[in-house]
Amino acid sequence: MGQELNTTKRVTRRTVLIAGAVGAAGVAGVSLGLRVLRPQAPPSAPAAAPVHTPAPPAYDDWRDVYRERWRWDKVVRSSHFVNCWYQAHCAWNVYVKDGLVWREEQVAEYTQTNSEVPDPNPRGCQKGACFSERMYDPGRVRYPLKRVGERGAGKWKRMKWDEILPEIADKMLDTITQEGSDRVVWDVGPLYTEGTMTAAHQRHLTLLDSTHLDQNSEIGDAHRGVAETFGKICFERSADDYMYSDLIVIWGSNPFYTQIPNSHFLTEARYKGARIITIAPDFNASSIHSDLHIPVKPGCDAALALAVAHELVKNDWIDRDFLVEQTDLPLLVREDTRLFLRESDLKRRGSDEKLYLHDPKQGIVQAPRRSLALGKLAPSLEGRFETTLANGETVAVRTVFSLLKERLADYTPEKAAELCGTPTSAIREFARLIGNAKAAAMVTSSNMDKYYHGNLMERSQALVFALTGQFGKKGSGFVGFPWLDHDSIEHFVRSMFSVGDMMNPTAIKVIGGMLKDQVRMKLDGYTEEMMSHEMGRGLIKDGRMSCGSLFWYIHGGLIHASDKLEEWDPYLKRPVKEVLQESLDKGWQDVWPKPGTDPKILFVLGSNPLRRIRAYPLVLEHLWPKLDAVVTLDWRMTSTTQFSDYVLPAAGWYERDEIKWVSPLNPYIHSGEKATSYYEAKSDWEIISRLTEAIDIRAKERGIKSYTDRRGDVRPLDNLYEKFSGGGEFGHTDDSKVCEALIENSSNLGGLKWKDLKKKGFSRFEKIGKGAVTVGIATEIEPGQTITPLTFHVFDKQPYPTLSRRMQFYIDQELYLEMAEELPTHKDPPLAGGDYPLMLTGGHTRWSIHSNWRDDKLMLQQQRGEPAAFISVGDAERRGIRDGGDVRVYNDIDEFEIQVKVSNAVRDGQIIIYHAWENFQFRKGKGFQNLIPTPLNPVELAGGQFHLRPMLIAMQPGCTDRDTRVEIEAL
Amino acid sequence: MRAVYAKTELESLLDPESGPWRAQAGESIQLMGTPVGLQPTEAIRVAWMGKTIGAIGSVRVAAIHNGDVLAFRLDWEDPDEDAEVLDNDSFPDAAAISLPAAEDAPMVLMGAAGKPVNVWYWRADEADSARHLTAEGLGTSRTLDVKTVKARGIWKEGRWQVVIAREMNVNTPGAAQITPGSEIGFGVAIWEGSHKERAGIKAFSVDWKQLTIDPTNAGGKA
Amino acid sequence: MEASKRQLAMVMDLNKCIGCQTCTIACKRLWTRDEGMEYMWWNTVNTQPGRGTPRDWEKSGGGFENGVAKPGQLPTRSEFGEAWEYNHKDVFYGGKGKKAHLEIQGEKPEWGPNWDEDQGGGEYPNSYYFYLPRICNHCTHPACLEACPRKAIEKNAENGIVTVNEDSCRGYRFCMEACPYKKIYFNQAAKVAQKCIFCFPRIEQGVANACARQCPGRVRFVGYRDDKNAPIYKLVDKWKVAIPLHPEYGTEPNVFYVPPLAPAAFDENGEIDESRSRIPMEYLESLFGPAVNESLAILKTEMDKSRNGEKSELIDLLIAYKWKDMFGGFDKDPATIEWVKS
Repeated sequence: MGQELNTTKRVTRRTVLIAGAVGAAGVAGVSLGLRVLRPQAPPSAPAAAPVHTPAPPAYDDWRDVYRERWRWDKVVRSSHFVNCWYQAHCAWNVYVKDGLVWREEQVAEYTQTNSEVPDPNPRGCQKGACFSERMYDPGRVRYPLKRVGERGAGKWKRMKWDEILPEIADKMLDTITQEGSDRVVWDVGPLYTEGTMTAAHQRHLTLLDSTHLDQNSEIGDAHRGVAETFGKICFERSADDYMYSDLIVIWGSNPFYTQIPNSHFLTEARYKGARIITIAPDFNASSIHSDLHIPVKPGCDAALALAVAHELVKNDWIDRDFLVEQTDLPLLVREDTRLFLRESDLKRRGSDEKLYLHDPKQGIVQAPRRSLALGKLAPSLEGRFETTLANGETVAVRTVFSLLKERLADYTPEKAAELCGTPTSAIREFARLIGNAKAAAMVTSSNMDKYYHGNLMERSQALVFALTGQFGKKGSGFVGFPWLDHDSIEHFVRSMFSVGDMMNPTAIKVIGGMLKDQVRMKLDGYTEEMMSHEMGRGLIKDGRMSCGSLFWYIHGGLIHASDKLEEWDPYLKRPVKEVLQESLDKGWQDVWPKPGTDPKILFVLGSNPLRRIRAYPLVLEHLWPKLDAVVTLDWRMTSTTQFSDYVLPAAGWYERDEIKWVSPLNPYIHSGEKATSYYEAKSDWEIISRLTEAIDIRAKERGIKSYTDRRGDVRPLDNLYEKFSGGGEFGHTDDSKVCEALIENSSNLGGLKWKDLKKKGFSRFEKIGKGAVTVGIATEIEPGQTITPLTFHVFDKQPYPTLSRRMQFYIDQELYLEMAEELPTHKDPPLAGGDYPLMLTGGHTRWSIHSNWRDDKLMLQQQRGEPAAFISVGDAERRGIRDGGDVRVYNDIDEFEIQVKVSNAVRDGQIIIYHAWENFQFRKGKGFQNLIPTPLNPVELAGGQFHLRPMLIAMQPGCTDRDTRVEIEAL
Repeated sequence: MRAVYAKTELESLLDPESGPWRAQAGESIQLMGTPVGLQPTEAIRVAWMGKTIGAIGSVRVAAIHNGDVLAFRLDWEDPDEDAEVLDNDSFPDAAAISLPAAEDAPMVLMGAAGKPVNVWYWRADEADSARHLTAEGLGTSRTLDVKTVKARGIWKEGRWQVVIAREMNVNTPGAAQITPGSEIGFGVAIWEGSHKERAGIKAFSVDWKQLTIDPTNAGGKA
Repeated sequence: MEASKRQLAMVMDLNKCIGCQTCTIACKRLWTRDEGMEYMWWNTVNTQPGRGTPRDWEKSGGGFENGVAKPGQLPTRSEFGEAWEYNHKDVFYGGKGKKAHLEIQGEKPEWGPNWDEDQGGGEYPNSYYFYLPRICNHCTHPACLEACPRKAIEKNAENGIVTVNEDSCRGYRFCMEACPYKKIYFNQAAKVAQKCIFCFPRIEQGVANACARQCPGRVRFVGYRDDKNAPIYKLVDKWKVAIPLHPEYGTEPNVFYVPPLAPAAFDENGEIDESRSRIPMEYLESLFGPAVNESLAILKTEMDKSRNGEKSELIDLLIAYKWKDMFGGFDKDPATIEWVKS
């Protein structure tokens, strides 16, 4: 079908001549190669009928063939509702011809934020520019499918919607009533929009008390080191803010692969005068446009950063005023216990959360907690002091900065160079540049978190920016994770209930509870941001968001791959399984369903866990047999649909009304209007709405009136669909009304109307909003101003949401002390997978957003046509491997085969396989994920302390892949 | 040379191995390559300077007509069948009969302004179809239509046998008109695909050959 | 051949090109979808140094030497890269489980249009590369046009766009031999030569080329060469930073490049060596001729000025504060066109 759509023939004068003379049979037989234009039939009856049948165009000469190509019936605004993350999103015009999407082109109507910065036009990338091809390709799912063979055998039965949904509903009812509602588990992925899909999903799982996995730490995007330092991870600038930078440090990122539409701001900032530094093991697509490329051994960036910090301190290129106000560096730590000096040390019934600093005039005083403003305090940055505890004991205390200086002595450029392989010249030059920069900006992405010691790397990076005070000013700042979203999903969920529902246990759970806490928090000086975070933590407590990685480690058997961790990680003090048990026992971390109770139904919503999860064969081995049903909603066939029991065809991105969250890098909400339809595909809203109704109907038919939720409360089932639809307000196909409700109830879109957004396709955010994640940006979004994050802290002196209420570099939680990670430090990467010479790393590709374009024909043709691994010239020569040859990649875990690209740009000792090849693209279905043991780092199991408690999308243990060791040999 | 009259159906005429053709040994015509100096563009001249043009040295030609249709059978040795364009650097074997459509139309130059040559053109990759062309000089050929000329080729045991035929009288401006009983001039050109021959890179009969069209009442069966 | 009255031209800024191939895909989706066009990429972007598309095109001859046509080779489909087909249905629905994996049907390829992406040159850590986007150069002295025995290649008298007249073309492919940039493809189904048409149907409507208008890197400037108020003239003639690729081919291209800068190199002792270019100047000269030295010098001078807070017309042009200013007046939004139904 895709063929027919994409190979339209055209009329030429010669065609007319021939058709008139010998007839169609003659044309076919002779193949004169003349192109005939004829309107194509739509793919099937349910697809939109042609708007009209155009008459064959007049043919004067060959030029008309091309002119005719560039004609269309209508134009609809849309976007690609996939998680492009850093580069999200771009407004597109979708050109429709004969009822089918013919092509797309960027809207390109964004305006300059102000005259000092370029406009963002046209935005877009090659993947967006061919979705019109992708949406008709053979990977699409056309009909509801039910597995008929073994799981994974690829044998399917086509089902009708009104057969498949009641069947799934029955399985859910069996599980919910017989085993527990928490046994129904949802894995959501890169297609999660925070729009209609999320609205449907959140209403559904709230009513049914299902378990929703928070996958951010599992995927390796949780920026643990950022969370440890800032108490949050989400803060990022707008990309046009780079125009105010005089130094841009691209570190742990390859934005020219992964931020295609934003990248021009970097090249343009460079033209304006900013120096660009890239820091990476390989000379990558971003390095080529830098002024200084700093090579580093993979996983050793902490040593590099700490050496830079060493140079900054040595040369006194540090901002002392900033450090004493904004960071924990002046806070006092007891020499005897290595713990912060706390109020509880000094007073009976004193708080564990109140910390101290030294002022030359006032002596040792409590550090301000409700504001960063120092008033008359002039904290000592350095020093050793003595104090008397409540028990009468006298102890010595030192500032964190003093401890840090001692630590930095281990990181002279010469010593660091041995650890990280970076020339000392580059370390010194980097220190000189950032030490003297007016506005230094960090460009990063979620890379470091995919290293076992990624948190140490991020803490060290943040230290470099903190020492130099590079925060808050236009064009400056270390950054975390980018996320910007409307904030009305929670409202949409709550609005299922009316005042009369106040006795409904579900409503009580959703709406109540928080109020009491809020009063307490206000009294304790919590900022709005901190209270939003606590609301997010409430969702985790309720199971509406549950740790994804621990689900896979415990229920999916991933923990077995950490059995050999003691051989791989020389710093490990005890088996990680022991720490895991301790963490669960102490309530530091949590998992649903509880260990010992099995998950029963797995819903996969726009996600691809069997491609995504490192060591996924363990999940197939340990989890899959426990599951009564695996139900996947997707628009295409994936590594996960292959092992699903039911596949529900979801509408593609041009086939529904939708809105999509973005990032501050391009701070515009984006929308799409339905342009066409495809076979039996339905929007996710409609699928979940119909499923909810099917459960309601089957419950009534089976006489099931209620169920008991995970807390033991009895909840009604008899009005399930009534509640879901808001009393019929939002019907199965009311996607547009849902968009309207979400947009118009948001606090941060300036009263935007859905009808206006739908027409235009994008609209600039006016505030960061109240969402538990986006509040972290901590700045105003002003018209005419670029976005620089964290100004609420830097200029308005709002405390950071950390234990110390400051940017925090010292962590005295017991696991950190056990692992000697109380301060930023370098640790050699573990030998994950065994003692082999090559590090198997990756990174997001320029060729796909996750796996969504990985098997796309056009994208493959611009690559090697199949998965490929980059290796260095030296590693290839030593092993007798040639470019384009096939190799076997192996370690203690498994092996697989892949083609290699031998590149001058790759460092010896590294093999790079970019993100998201589907398992089915590898011979024997085995790829790099098979070799990645994703060892669990015990430090990540910490909790208990204020900001180390799990929070939405952060502070949960994660999975990692970059430390994987392998060897290769030519095939 | 004679175009023998035979009361034959068109289908039979188009089959180079059919009875009527078996009876015709035909006449061998020597071919020469179009001189490099006559090639119309510098790029072609430079590219072919010092190279052989016209890889096929001779062709055996026979002609039959049935009163309506005049058919030529060309028979030449060619060890490689190039009947498909397999790649960008692959060219099909081809053959053409040219007839003057005006008096004094020059054969070597494919006609001249105001003195068109009428070409019946067969190409191995265009299977059973052929083109009816007119030309007024090298590089000027223009397709009149693709229905009038009928052709069929068979490659077997290192030889091409190709029949190219057309109704003797057609209503197309630029077409040569032929009357039984008259004498006409004709030319032959062969392009050897494996030698990358196309356009003016070809072998051709040096000047118009004479062909007597037997009258329909002349001699019954040939 | 008579010169066209005016000449449309393009400038591509290699310091802004990120190799994302949005141009390539924009072109593919608009113009080369028909049968016979599957393997065509009228717009390509290759990693330099590299063998490029078609493979080793720079060693394939064509163009002119001392004003005389130079023989050239005909690039084959495998040198361009075939349009690979896959077994999606077999993998998803064939009932074969892991026995089937997604693979190219037919022979395993040894080249493709972007085969040597990101491999580059130099010895680590002094590796180097950059991206080189290419379309038809719409030359002032087009070798293809002059090679065609049928005069089937035309240079538009009004705007200088070079096109293959597909009504006249008989697929003889002398043009493919003659083009030194190897930017002409052969359509086996239509049996005609085909190449970049400089988006003339868009240009006719006042809309910039798809490759330029869709470029998220904002690499490409479009417009008339002689429009003194527009960027092309300023970059090529006034500031002399935009220069043609392989001027020695003698065809006088109308696509110009702002040559690439590169990060500092390290010397043998690991010290940062500002005295030499990471991309060897000999290599850049082999691509752009000696003019590349002056071009880069001007660029660096103006960047230094800008870094010191001085105004630079050149830098402002290259930054392109207003995207639409890049298109020399061809800045109409195509979505605003209302076609009259035929």
